[in-house]
Amino acid sequence: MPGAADPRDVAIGAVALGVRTGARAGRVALVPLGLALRVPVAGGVLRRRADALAAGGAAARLQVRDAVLRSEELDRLICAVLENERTDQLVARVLESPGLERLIVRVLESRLVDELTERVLRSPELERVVEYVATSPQVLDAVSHQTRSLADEMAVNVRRRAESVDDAAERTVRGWLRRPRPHPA
Amino acid sequence: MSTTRVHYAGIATRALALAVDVAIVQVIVFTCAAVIGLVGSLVGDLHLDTLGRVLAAVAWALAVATYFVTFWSTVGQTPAMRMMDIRVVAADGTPPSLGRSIVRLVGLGLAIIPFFAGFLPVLVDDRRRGIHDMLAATVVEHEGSPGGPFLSAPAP
Repeated sequence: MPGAADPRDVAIGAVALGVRTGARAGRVALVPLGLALRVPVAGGVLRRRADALAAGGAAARLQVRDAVLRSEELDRLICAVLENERTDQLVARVLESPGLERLIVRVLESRLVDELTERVLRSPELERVVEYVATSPQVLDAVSHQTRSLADEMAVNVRRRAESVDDAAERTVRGWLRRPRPHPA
Repeated sequence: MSTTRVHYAGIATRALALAVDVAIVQVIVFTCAAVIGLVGSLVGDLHLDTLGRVLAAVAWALAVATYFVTFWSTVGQTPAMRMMDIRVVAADGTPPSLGRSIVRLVGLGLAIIPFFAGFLPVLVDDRRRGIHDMLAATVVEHEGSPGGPFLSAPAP
């Protein structure tokens, strides 16, 4: 059963109704103007006047947009929204929601991702990036260094083991012959 | 008498270096033979008679000899000896001369023929010399050993 109406909802509904009504009234008011524009003599004058009005309106719209974008209030508003604790909570709730996960899974499984991947892989830009990375001196140095390090490490291990076998074999044979290795003074 | 410790290379190190060197030479020889065979098969019918086989064997022996003698006499070590960090030096501590390298190569052959028995003295000789080292008056020592004459040689 519905409860008592929220005054804020009532106010917002009233505003929305007013806007809708105003828009309808505006459209009705513009009907005679549209008819007047089709009149042969007065139509040209009225059309030029309408064009001038439209140009003024467009310029005013751009001015308003620039003023809004440059205004410090907008910066403060954005900062306030971003720093608001409720924004964090909202983002956390959205990220934890199963709906977002389902949405992301659907996007990833869609044909769009496959096509995008194919297009990226076939793009000349990617070839240029791969070529740049493959021929970059830093990458070549790193690969060369890694290869050299591995070969050096292998050689050191082989040498160490061979020397152990050297000493063991010599010790064994000298033991059989009772001929110890002379130690330097 | 005071002696300085020189780290002479033992039998396992030298055997491993020799094996790797032989493998390198074989790869070089077989690659060249394959190229020659391919060119020969393209030009005409390549067939080795007795003389051809003898010439191939001589070429193989020359390749092996050139490989070892060149490396010994110029830098004192083959690529595999470089890998094992050892070098062959004459009595004065320098790489053996061309003649001494040839003598050493002949001695190496003599050491190999009796089933590598010519290497056995390495196990008991104070300077770990094989027959070929004794013939050419050389020793094989580890890199980093004090250079110069055979410092650790026992007094005669």
